[in-house]
Amino acid sequence: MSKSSFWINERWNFKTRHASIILNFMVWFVLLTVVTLVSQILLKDAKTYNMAEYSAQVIYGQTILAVIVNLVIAVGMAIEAFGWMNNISQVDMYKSVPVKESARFAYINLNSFIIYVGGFLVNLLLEIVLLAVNNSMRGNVCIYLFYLLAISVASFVSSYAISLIAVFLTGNGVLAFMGGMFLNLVEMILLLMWNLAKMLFYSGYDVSDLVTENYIGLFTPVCMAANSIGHLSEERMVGYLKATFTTRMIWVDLLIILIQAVVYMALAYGLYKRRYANVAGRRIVFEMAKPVIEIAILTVAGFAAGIMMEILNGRQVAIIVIIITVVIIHVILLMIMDSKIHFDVKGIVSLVLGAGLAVLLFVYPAYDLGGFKSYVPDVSEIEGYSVIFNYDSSESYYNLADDHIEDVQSEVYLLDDVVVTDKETIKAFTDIVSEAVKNDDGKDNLYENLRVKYHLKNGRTKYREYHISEALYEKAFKVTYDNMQYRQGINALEYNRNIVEKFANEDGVSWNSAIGYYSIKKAGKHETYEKEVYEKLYEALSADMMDRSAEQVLTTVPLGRIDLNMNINEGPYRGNYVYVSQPIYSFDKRTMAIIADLHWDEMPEPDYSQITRIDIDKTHFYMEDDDEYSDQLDSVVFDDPEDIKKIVEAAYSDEVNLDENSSFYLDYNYTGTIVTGENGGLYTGIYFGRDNVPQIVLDAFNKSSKQ
Amino acid sequence: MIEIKGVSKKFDKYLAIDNISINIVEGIVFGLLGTNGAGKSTMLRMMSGVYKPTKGNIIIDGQDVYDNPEAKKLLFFVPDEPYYIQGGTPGDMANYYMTVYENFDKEYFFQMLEKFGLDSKRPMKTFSKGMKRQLSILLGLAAKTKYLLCDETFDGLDPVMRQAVKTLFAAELSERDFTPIIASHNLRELEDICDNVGLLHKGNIVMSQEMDMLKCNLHKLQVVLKNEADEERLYKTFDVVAGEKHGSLITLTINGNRSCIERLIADYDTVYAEVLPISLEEIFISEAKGVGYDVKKLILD
Repeated sequence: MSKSSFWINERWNFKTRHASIILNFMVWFVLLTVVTLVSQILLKDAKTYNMAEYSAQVIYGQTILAVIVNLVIAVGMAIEAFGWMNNISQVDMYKSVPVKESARFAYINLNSFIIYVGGFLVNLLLEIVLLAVNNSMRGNVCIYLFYLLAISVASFVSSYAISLIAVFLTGNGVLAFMGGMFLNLVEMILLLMWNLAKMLFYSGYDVSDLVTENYIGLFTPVCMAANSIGHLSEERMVGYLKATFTTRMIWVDLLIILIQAVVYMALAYGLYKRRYANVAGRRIVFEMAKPVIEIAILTVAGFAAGIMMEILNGRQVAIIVIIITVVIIHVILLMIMDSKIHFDVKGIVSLVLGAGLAVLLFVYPAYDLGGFKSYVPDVSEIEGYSVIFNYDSSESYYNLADDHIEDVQSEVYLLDDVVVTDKETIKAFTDIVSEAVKNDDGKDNLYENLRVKYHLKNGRTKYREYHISEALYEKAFKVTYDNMQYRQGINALEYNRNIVEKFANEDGVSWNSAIGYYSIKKAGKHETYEKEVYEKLYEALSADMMDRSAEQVLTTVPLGRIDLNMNINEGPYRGNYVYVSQPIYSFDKRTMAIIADLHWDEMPEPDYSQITRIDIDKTHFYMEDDDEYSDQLDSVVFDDPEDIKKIVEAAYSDEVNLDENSSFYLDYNYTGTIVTGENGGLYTGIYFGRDNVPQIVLDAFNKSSKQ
Repeated sequence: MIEIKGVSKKFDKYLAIDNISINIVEGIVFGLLGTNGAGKSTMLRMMSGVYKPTKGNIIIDGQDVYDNPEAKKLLFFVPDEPYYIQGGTPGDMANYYMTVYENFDKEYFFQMLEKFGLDSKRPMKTFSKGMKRQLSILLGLAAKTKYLLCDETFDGLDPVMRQAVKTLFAAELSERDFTPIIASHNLRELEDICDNVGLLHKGNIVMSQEMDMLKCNLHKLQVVLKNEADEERLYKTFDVVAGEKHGSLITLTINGNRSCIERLIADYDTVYAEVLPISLEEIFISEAKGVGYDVKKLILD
């Protein structure tokens, strides 16, 4: 076929694609042009900065919608492009004319691409015009538009190639549509079901969803596009959208999608060549493909039925339900594929295999056949481990980017980057975890969650969340906290030091230091904006943090918290900050010395006369008949001024409860409320340290229980 | 020349064409005859490169036809149920074929459309079945290909149109290198147009011969003998393919040329004797009987 006749055929084919051209254009007209127009009208009065930010958010949303819409467009366009192969009259015409099959395959697909890109680009240009007219084409908007284009086009090409496989495997449009959707979504469906299964069966044991590198699919464009959108999302900061052209992971995602497209297109071409004309009108074209399709559908359907039964608390009958579901679906598939119900050896083999795989997929996590929950790697396999104790959700770690300071998600940082590699520590830690697993510490409701990431020597990582007794949890904390590598890693002041030092001599930066005490007796807060105080406290506190021992942290109630806040008020980093809030202990000698110099340890006595009464609650845990723990509250009211004074002297404000290590040193059996004001209308929550509950409180409850 | 060499076609387990070999020479009208399901359409689809033979080759002027545009340029396939572009007009169809057949004669096509009373701008969905048939034949002729493959093409044409199309074929045959291959189950339709015929039955070729040769070597003898005792001798004298008797009238289908039969019957004392030409239908009945095929099911209009 000469080049000229290729383009003549290409142009002719284009004339037969009116439905695709119009529908594709209309979809993008609504999604890109109309949505942008409406959003720009709504944002008309927004400030310039916000305008760009909101526009980028709209484009981000359009990218997500584009991937979903692409799926339907790709399947529809593939069916329209090669639907003629399901009609013997069209096959007679097109296959008898002097056109090479490879050329026909090429120009039809080229047209699909041109139709898609044409409709998309025209509306993208309209969107750009609308953004420009509204003065929103600035900053990250261009980058977000670029990613919208790149992700959309890449995911379309791959989705279209997968859809072609469905078109060539089936003999009519309806089946091709169902097949196209199935092939595009099967990985996503399986992953969703698998994650659902993990949530159901490994509840509290899996922490893989905490990490952004979480695997969410590799083989289908829908999953990969979701990955790239996820990576784009990671570039976003709270209140400030940011993305760059150098976001490596997105480029990797796009590359994988394009590799998928090439592989699927090659597969589709193979099927196209093997799909001889005489199969026009058949339901399933290749007899060999029938059992594969059937087993895949039966497995997914059976597994879904099992998951459903688990949700409905019906694990006992789940296997029976899976088998019934598989049989019903098998009959439905027979009707769809063969138009009749019949039983032959091949069908029975498919049925048995589909049911077997579905049962296996269900039973594997349900009965933990892989030993997931009890997995502890051998010490010799471990390069290092990361662990999160009493996670503090406040963002304390920051990275310096080109034009902004970005928050680091603490959980991600702690699990990915704070790695303990000392062999003895690893051994001690895994011994403790193994003991918890051996004891089956998760068998009742009284346990702590220990989140661990093992960094293995083979380069792989394993996440686990163990249920562990309080005693072993504290042991694991001691072992880990006393490791200097760990303490250095979790030290937010050290982590942020390069940023603080960079701005140390810059103008337009404010330095705020403050202390807030936990003790009710010392209620109040000292604060200063002196840079020198900030710097002194920064250095002293960082050094003290490195000197603390696990034993001290476990047994000592902090005096309160020191906040160190650096705010940038001018220049390109305007509006950014580094805020660190850390507990302060009486044994932090350097810090305590500065506090004394500042007279921050001096507080006026509280006005006891304002306190109307103190209500103390005692929580009793007890085992119910079904081996589940429950709690019950007893309350005692203290209104004697002397009792009130004794309680206040021992009590901590409820802010202490926010401290990351509070579970170690607080006695949660006794909690209370201070009621103030003439009418008793103001309430303050209080806690007590372990072994520091006032005797009058203990006596009162002893007396109460005897009565 | 179209060379069909040991061609078989299997659809899953069903063998539609079983090891057929025929040569179709140029410049003749070739009739491919057979009952419904005999494999005529399958054969034509393989010849036009729509189907790939499971076994064997189909060579058109020295080139294998399957997925070979150079070979396909030499042929135009008019299928049993031609496809018409949705919402299209005859003009649209011509435009399409112009993109794939470089010799497509647009002027000839529109002249013929006018002669056949077909409006080139009228949507084809408003055409009757017969009009669509006429259109597809005109498209095939306008493509000016060497070979025109027609599948049940004359079905649906009224006798006047049928004759008109035959006239067009004759004109093309006289003007250029043109070889129509016409598949049909209607023997009488092809009798006056085909130069060569091939008979397909259950995927096998029963026979393939020149029409004149067939007609020259097979005749029908109708005779009334004065002496009934001569009847047995009659069967021994002639190479009788088939015979029947109604009253005293004996009708025999005999292998042999006309003069030889006339000379031999002259030795008998007859009341009435006449040697008659045989119809295509009768030829096939006799030939098929010879190879054990029951061709009585051939549909005769």
